[in-house]
Amino acid sequence: MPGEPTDAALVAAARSGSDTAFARIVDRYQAPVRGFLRRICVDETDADDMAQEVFLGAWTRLRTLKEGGRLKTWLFAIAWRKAKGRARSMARSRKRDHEYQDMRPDAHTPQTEMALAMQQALAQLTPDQRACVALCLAGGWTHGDAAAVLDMPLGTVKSHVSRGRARLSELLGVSE
Amino acid sequence: MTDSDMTGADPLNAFFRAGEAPAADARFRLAVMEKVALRRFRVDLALRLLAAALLLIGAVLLAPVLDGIAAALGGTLYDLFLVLGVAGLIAFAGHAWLTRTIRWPALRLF
Repeated sequence: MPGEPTDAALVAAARSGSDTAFARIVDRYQAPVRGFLRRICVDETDADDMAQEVFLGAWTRLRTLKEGGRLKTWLFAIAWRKAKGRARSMARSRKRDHEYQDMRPDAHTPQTEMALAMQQALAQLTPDQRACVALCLAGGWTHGDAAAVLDMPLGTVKSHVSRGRARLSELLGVSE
Repeated sequence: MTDSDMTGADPLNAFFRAGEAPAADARFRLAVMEKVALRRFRVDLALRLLAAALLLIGAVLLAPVLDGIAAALGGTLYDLFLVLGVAGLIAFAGHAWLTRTIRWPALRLF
């Protein structure tokens, strides 16, 4: 879109201390990052909390992003590392969290049947499969880019995508 | 299968689209920026406390030397250096106040 600053320009401005530039980075990437985390964490509230942590981590480490480095790839790599790191503790505290979530005012956000069905189907996949499916099938990433973000061999990503697609199609009753 | 095949008319796409986050979410942005401001404040506060602690330690370590200098300079100059020292401390505190990144009423440490 003409007039829209590039990622590199926004990163440079944010590195110089511009909160406006960083807020635009958040605006630009919040939906894909949250979407990715919602698919791999399954629990929507956990995912959104983690997405906030991803952007906070990005702000803290903005100077480590290499010149010319792809912001989107970098953000997703942070998200994946955070998701992996929290997977174990999330599983441990899931029961406690559900009790807390039920008390939240926004706990019963209406969701479409399709979204719920997808959420339940994704929960049947392994975390690595979910991540590959979330990036390549839902996000439209290439296998190569997904492999770079997830730090997995290309063949492994292809295999996860293929198996994940087959399993999801089976669970959702969709013909491939 | 190529990458373009996957993004085309995939029957799973409708399911994926159903669970997407909103494209623009001011509440999310606000929550992130609030956390950013809080982290900046904490880092800023830690750095200033460190600087103040170093100044204090320096002053304590240099106290015997400064006492000797003060005795050699005599009462009037000693008072002058005392005033300069206090003025410096006030300037440091004033700078910290004027360049603070969070207004005190909005301040939440934890």
